[in-house]
Amino acid sequence: MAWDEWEQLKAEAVARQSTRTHLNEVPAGDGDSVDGGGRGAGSLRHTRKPWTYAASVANDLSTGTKTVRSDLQAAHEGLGRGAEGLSSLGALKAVLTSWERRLSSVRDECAALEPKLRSVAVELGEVDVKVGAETDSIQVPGPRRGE
Amino acid sequence: MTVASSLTWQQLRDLKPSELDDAADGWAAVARRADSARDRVDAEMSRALAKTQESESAKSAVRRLKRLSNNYHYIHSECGLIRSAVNGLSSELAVPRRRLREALDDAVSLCYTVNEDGSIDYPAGGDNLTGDELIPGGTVLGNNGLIGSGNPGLHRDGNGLYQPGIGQGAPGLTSPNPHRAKAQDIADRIAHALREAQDIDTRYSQVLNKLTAGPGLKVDASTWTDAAKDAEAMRDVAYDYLQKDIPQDKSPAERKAWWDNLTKEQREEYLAVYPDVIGNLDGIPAVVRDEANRENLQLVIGKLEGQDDEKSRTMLAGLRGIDTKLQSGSHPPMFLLGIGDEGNGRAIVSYGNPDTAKNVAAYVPGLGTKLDDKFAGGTLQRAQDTALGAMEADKSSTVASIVWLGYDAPQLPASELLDNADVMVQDQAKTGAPAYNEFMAGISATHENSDPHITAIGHSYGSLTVGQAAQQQGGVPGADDIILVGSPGTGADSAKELNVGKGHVFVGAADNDIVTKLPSHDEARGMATGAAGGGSAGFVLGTGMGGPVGGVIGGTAGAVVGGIAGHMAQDAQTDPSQIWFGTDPAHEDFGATRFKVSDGLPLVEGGVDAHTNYFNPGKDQMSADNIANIVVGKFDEIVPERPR
Repeated sequence: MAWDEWEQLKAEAVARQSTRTHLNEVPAGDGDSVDGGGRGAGSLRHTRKPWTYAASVANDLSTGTKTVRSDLQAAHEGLGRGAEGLSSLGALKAVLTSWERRLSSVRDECAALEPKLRSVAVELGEVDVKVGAETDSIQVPGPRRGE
Repeated sequence: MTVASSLTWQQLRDLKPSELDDAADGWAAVARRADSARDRVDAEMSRALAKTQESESAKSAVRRLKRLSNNYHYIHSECGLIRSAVNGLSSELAVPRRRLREALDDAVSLCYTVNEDGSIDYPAGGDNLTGDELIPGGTVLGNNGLIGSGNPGLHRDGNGLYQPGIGQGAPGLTSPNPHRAKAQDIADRIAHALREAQDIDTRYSQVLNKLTAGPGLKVDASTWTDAAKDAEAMRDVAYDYLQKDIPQDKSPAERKAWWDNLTKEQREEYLAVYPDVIGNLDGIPAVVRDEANRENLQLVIGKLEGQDDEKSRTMLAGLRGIDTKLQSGSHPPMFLLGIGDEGNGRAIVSYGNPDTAKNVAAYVPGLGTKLDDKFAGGTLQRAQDTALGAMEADKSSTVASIVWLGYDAPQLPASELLDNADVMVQDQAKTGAPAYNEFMAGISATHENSDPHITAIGHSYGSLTVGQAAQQQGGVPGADDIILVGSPGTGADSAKELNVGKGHVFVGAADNDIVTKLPSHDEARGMATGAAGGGSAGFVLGTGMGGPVGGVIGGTAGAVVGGIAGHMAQDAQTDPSQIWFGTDPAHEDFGATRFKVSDGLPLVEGGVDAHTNYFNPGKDQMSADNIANIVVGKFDEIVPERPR
């Protein structure tokens, strides 16, 4: 496939994802699994560290979910004064408690996933994602590789 | 569980809707952030790991990521509903709260006392022309309009029965003290406002009670079945707050204007609570419909999983098939423009963005099509093949290829074929035609460029639907060209009647496609009585043919089968230009442009292949290429065929 067609596929795939701030500006959602053909997969290897990167995202999400949970709590602080007497208030409080619990579980799951993802990275011999792209080709044995 | 409201008028007076609005904003933030978290898990975590799952720990991590993604999806869906519940509660309560405060202000300005129980004390008054004392004051109780125990102000007789003619305020005892009537009015307004607020409170607390989170991290079929019920309950509750403003009775252009003028927050709420409506509303932009339908897809799957009948299982298979294709992504990308479980199921899928593509094709599928696994397989494949073919035919252009299953195509039970089956069969096309036209009007209304090239395509029975649509006043909105393949007729006698102008109707009909050669019903009736005679001419009908055409021909065997076979084998006994639904579009009398297709295998050898391969470049490259060239407007590249 011509390079410009490949680039267009990637651009379409990225455009299909919502735009988010990405860690270290690493682009997400490249088209390698869009058509399942694995086209150009080899050329992606030297620009991404899938497992280490995923671990850092897990960390991000863990923090983010915790913030979301406390923001949600804060948003309900005024209710005791402003919505007294409503049966809906009682229902809402029960709903709030249940989702605070759920958000905690999700946050804990993200936190638990991070080391698991990192350990798979170690198994696969991935270099730390913080290292720049130009050093990717240098296979330097380090503490993360468990040697 | 009914949680009846016990709100007092003081509480209603003191209510601060802004506190509820703040809480709602909190839920909105959760929903938004969960949505973006889900995207991150899918795009930045799961996607990359698909290739490197060699170890057990890798596989386990990928499974957990899938569950994490589902968790964020669940949070996004449910918290979006909670947000709208709280906003709706706040918005609806504002009305009775205002009325209550107005009544209280009136009491203050008249110097009446509002008691704790809502009764009003009024002073002495009345005219003293005669010099008599003023008529003494008193107390009135508000009447909130309920007939029943919820209305302390209701007048009852000694037996406790409702008696409007006695008691305070009854006509016969109207006091000449003018304060009394005014006080009664205020008391009634207070009581009514309170009752209205209590009703609102009760309704919303019922729906909120459903929206608690499930335990742990489980997100399975039952989670989505419950989520679907929650969504339905919320849709019912939010009629006044949200639904009544959706311009369902307006034109696609007006609906687009409505959507364009909504704020971001309003759009979020409509997508959270009414994805079923927004996703299927012609006039809403394609990317929005796609987002709404992907959300609704999950809820419809959840709903169908909770139902255990044949029809639900069939539709579920179709929806799951579509979901699988959506998840794995495709080239060109899919846009879900419609999804629903009414009738035999509804699905409108585009390969390519129809709002930005320069060439848009919309194909209506034919006999036997419904929302099932075959739809998600072969029918979608036809739309995709058309997109790919068109992109190949004009590499400089952009294309969107849509399959529109917005109606119930006839499933043609064989047993009903002889008994006025032709009338029944026409009805479905006539019902589908206006729906197709409205969809096409939506395509034109939301298109971002001024003049896309639009092609309406009808396959098999779908060509009757497109033909009927084209014959309506104004034709198919926006359509520049019409393609009819495998057509049993359009109900029209000439291409002119299809309202796209000369040279813009194209027909593909394989010689071995029996659907394009069904006799007109006059002949069929004649055949049934044995009049047309003729042997089976070596046709293997019925068991030899699969799918819908087999249903047409094979189920009834005997006279009609032999007759149709005889009809095809011999010279036509009556007007050869007339087939099942009017003039054969492939016939020269119709006046369309016929393009070359493969003849397909004869029925004896290949069953219904000749009827189903028009879009398949692997099996009928000639036809697929011709269709592709028409779709991109390269009419010179078409390989013509002599009309019949």
